[in-house]
Amino acid sequence: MTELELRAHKIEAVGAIENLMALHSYYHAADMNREELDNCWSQEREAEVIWSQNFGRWQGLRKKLYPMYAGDNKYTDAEWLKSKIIRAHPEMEEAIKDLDGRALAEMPVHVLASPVIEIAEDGMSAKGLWYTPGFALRHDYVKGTADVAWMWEKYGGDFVYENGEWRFLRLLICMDMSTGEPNSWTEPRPPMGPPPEEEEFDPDDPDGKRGKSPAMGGGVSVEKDEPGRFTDYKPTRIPTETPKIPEPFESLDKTWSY
Amino acid sequence: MYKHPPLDVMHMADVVEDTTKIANIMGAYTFLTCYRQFDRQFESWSKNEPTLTLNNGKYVGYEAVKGFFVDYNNEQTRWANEVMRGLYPEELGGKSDEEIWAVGSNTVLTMTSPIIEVAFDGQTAKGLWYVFGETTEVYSKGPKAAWNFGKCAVDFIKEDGTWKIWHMIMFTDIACPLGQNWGTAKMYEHEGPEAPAPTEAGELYKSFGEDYVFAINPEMPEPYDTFANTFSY
Amino acid sequence: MPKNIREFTPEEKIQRAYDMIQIKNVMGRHAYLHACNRHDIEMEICWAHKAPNISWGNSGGFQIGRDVVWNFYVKPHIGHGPKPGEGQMHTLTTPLIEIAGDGQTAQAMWYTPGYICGHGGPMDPDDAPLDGQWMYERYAIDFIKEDGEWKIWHFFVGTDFSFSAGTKYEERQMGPAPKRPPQYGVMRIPGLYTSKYNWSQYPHWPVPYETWTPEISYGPEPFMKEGE
Repeated sequence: MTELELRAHKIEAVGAIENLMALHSYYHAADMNREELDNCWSQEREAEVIWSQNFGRWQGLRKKLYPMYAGDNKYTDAEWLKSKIIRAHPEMEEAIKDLDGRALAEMPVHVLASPVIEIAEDGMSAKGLWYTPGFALRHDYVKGTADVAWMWEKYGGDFVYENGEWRFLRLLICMDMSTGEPNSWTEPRPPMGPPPEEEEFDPDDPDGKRGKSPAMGGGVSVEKDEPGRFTDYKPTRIPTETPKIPEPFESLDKTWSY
Repeated sequence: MYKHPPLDVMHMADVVEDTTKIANIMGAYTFLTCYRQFDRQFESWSKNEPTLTLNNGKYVGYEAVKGFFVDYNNEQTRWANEVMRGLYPEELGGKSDEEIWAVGSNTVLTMTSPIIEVAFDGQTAKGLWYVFGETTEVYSKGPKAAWNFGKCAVDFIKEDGTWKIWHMIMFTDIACPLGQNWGTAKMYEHEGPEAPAPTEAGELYKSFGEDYVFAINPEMPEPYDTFANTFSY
Repeated sequence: MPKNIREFTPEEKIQRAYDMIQIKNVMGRHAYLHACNRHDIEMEICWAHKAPNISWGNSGGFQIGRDVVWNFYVKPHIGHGPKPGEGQMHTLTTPLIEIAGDGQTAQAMWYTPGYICGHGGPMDPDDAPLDGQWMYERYAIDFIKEDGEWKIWHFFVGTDFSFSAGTKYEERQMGPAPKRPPQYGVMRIPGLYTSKYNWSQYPHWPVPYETWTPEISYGPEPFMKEGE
């Protein structure tokens, strides 16, 4: 690569990574996690891929991420959720029978602001940090209710350039603050939804976690590799620089990682 | 509006690289504010007659800006740490300021809606962002959170090849406790040390209320050739 | 992310990165001008003057043509900004910008967390108490290069939700839709965008493309009959 080619490649990379991160947000909002893993994540270094949230870290694209991030919770249970809605409201069948069940779960939108993007000197890797003042729009079609929850998070990403494309290698998601309007994250959380005794027992869903993402109290059935590295806000939390703010670096294998 | 003469491709490359560096400074600003690391944050500021303008006044010159931005904010943090040690003696009692720096606070001022214009001569730049944020800060009875929306306008200057914040305006449109309606709710009263008086005190910007008028203020950055031929923030 | 349609030269890569910054700046100007209802300035400096079928679209269809968009988007606000006590901001986040391989058009999407404040909604009296509304939307926009400058060509706004700050979303009281004067040049497409079932499949997010075609437009073209 000539000096000009490397400079142009690094200049192009900033926009490409900003686009890649946005694509993650839109795929995720549309509950298209499987497509996101196919199209946005490293395939060449799939064993090194790490997805991390407050509740754990999972390593390995095929071994862990596909079943955990794009697995049963997102597909089978979404279709189960659709059948549950139709059972409760037969009049909705016509409207939703052909709908992808994922559209009936929740719409988590992790909007992206405050980008810090650094491309490695060798142009083969990059780091990015964003704050995402996002939300989840949650319709409960069985109960006929809806709510909006604020979900403010930090994203730290390691990116690699492979086969002419930028891809995620690691994503460290730090759930920072969450609450439902009109509550505040500095106050004790009110109970979510009606008390359990009012819920009709469903033998298909004894613990009430089916069809829900972990953020909504749903279960994660895939074993984590490490505990998470961040805890969400509570009054006695001491701020830490997590994820780290990217600084200029030579190459990904010579610096810290997310 | 002034228009640049056509830029050659290497000049475009400079503009893109400069724009990325400027966006990165403002992205880092969000996170360092959150951690209340004001000394570290101030390393991104110019020492060459910087200014900081808020709704209620303007701090002019290095000493005045540092006095507010670093010294006062650090003092406020130490006051908050002491409050938190008192409120949570089992978890925080006996711990030093360094060990519990900024405990309980979590102010996030995200930078959205950027307009960034690098001067044709590449020596200065202007940027405007909309701050879509919240302030979680410690009060005498504990932390409280409030929405915080407003505008952030910055002149940047290149010093020894490094971009620095030169003049910053932070105007607040809305400051309102979480869970309340900003049409009627009142913001929490300030507690803790008093901020130093601005060099030029006065109501420079009105927050939301009956006489609030949303206008193009601060002005949007426009293309310009050199700083002498444009306005200053 | 799929690789772009072809490999670009270093000079093209730099030009395209520069174009992305220009497009962000055009949208930034839109955001601040829209916030204070200065749509007259916005249409002059941000919108295309020569491109056919410029449009502003939302959940129910499209306003089409510069005169029609002017009457709808600009005329009601001409000569004044917001009244005292009124304000709004539709922020720009999550940019996804794809510049055509031929460099003449671009497709872009933003998510816009925002707010509106004033004396109640459009149906409330002028002296109604001050009120703040959350307003969360998604923008999908076609840009076109005119005389070397990027301009807005088709602007689509998909509203996901709005409700009064400080209330529960499910308790929101949506009043009747405000009466508007009849519009001409409107292409009505009820239900074009809906958040009823969360993510709306329309509009698509931008993907790499070589040359703009009517099928991918964020304007009315995909819904026009042949010959229109």
